[in-house]
Amino acid sequence: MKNKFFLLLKAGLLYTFSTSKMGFGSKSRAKKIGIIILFAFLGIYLAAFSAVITVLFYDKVASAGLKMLIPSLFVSASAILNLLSALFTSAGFLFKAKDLPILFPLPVSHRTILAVKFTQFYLTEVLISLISLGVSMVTFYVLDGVTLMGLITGIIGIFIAPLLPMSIGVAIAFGVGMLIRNFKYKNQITTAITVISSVALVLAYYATSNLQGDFIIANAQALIDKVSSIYFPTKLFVNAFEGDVLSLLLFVAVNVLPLIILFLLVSLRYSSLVASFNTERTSSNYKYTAGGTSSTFGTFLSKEIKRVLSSSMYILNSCSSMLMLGMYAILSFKLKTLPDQLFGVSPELAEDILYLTMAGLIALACGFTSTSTSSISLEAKTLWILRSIPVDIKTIFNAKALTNAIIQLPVATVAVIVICIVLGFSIVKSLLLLALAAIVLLAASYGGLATNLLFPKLDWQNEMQVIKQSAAAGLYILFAFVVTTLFIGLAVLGMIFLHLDSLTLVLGVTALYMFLFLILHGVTLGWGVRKFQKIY
Amino acid sequence: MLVIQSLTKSYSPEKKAVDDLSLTIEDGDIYGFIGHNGAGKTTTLKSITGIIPFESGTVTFNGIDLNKQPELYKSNIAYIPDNPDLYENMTGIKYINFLADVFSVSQQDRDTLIPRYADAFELTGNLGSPISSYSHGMKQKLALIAAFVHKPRLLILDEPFVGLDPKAAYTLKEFMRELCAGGGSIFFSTHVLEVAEKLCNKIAIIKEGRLVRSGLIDDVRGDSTLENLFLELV
Repeated sequence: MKNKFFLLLKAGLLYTFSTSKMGFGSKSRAKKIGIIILFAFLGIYLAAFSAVITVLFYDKVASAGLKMLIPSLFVSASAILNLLSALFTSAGFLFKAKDLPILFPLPVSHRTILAVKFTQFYLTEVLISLISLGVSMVTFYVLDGVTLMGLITGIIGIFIAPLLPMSIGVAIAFGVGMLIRNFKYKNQITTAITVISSVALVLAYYATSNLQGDFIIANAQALIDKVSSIYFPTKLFVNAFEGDVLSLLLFVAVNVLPLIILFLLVSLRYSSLVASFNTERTSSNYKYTAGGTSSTFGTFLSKEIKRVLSSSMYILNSCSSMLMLGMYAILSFKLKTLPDQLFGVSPELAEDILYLTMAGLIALACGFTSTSTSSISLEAKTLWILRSIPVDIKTIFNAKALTNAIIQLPVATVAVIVICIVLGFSIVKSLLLLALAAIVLLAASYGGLATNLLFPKLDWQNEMQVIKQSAAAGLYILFAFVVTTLFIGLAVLGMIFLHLDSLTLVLGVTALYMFLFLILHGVTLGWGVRKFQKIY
Repeated sequence: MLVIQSLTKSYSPEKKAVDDLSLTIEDGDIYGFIGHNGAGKTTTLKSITGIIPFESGTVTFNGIDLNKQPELYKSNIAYIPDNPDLYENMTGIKYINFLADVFSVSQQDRDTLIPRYADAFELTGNLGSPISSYSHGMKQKLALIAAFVHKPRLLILDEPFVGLDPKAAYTLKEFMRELCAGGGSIFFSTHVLEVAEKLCNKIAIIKEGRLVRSGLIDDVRGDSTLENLFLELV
């Protein structure tokens, strides 16, 4: 079993993480190096984000002697990230992997196959834990010094803490999947459930952690207790960090045991569970009725929108920045009085700063993710249909691009309107922010498509490999981040050196995004069409 | 009439998958395309349907060049691969209507042709189910129905009988003959020499990317059987 386990695991990992499988051929050495640099940058960026948050928290709480709040918050935050990830991805790893029909007939026990799938799943969860909990722990050690027990707890925590969220995520995802497998609109229901649960989790965590510094200090113990009551292993982790060996053992046990039990239960009837999970609603009594006709563009737009809505993983990963925008809308209630408190400048300048900040946040959220970054790759084995039918490729591209804007625009519009009303922006300023959101979404739609055309990935086994792990997805995030930083950076420079008012500056940023949209539109419908014809 | 002239396609500089292939398929032809595994059949079919680009040569249908007027060219043809991967999130009827929209099939034609072909292939009852629940044979049938509904002038099929039950295979042959009797033409690859021998009026044999024999089936096989000729040539 051992050799077969490692053989299958090696094959699975090579397939998942091999750069040649991320979206370009084995001969493009320069592109391979480029993509390694890209993912390294993204990793460093996320790690730096964790480190900065840790430093900011440490400054607030250490002076009050409540530094244990940091491991408490970060182990629970890491658990929530692991749980969210597990909810979205566990079914894809364990029950819907496209290589399962190939693996089951092999002379390998189903338990070994399940162990391989669980290991692949675990390794992706550990990556999340390393970036969130791992980096914050290292930062904490640097700031506060290292104790032996603290070091052991931290190391064990990084590798053990993802296990309980994994178990919970698998159980929920499997339960929901089984419950709704025969529903007509099961994909839409799954998407709705995962969106609602994600928002609830984020809001619950936000309610306990995103608070003013003074409040944190004044209520640190209460916060630790509250976080621990929501996720009880936190308390064990904190106690272990402070030297309690029994708590460390209990922490390990509460994380490991549920996963072992879950593994053993699933392994008893793994192939049957996979078969049940993938059972589709069928009917054999359809009677033909006229369905009406549609234009070519209309039918493609409908196809693309349904494709996005058919996969909770697709919509959640490609539209997650709309959750970010929703959070800004909620945050705006707290920011209402912030300019005077934080900046200590004239009310006019404070409002200018606030307006520019919100424009930057809106631009970042609207541009950060796009359904189009994986829409070409997701065609994969159905690409033959697009190539053999009499449709202008530009029509296909426009439908794919517009799908992103259509799906995200309603959420963006509501969020921007809420922000503008709460922060009291004028009608002109509000309309400009709405225009900015729409134009950024359009630019993101074509930018995502161009990125996907640059790095198409057609040989995927699990759509997560395209949506989350592909070169196109990574490159697009970097692109969006650089563009937003550059445009908003220019606006800040304009404010500092040219003393321009925020309306003019945001108008300038909007014009820059419009210019970018026109360029990306031209590139996608020019170079992109030629590139598409060479993809196979 | 489909005219393929000097078609050449390579996947690597060392080896040509299709090498200087020329072939003419006239209206009314049922043209069989045979060759061993890896001979270049599927590459040829994918090249002449615009699925993969080719280095040199021309492909025209009734004078319409595939590379110069791809949409007009493709509006005359239908292609079905050997393993039809369809849009799994769609239901069968949605997929048929999707292609009918793309090929601008009128509502009247849909109302007549969809029930006709769906009933013939015994798939009507399943058209409301998602394609992800279909077997290989059902997907094959659905692809065939969607293809016949837009009344192609040229039908290009890659191993069309693989996965079909005997009754569906018989129905397909009947519709193939009907399409050709109405002035259409069919170009299909197959490994089943008996089918080629009984169904086709013309045949082409490909070996290592090059056409080794083509023409009327009686002329090609001469006094031999198709099986003996095939074994002799490839």
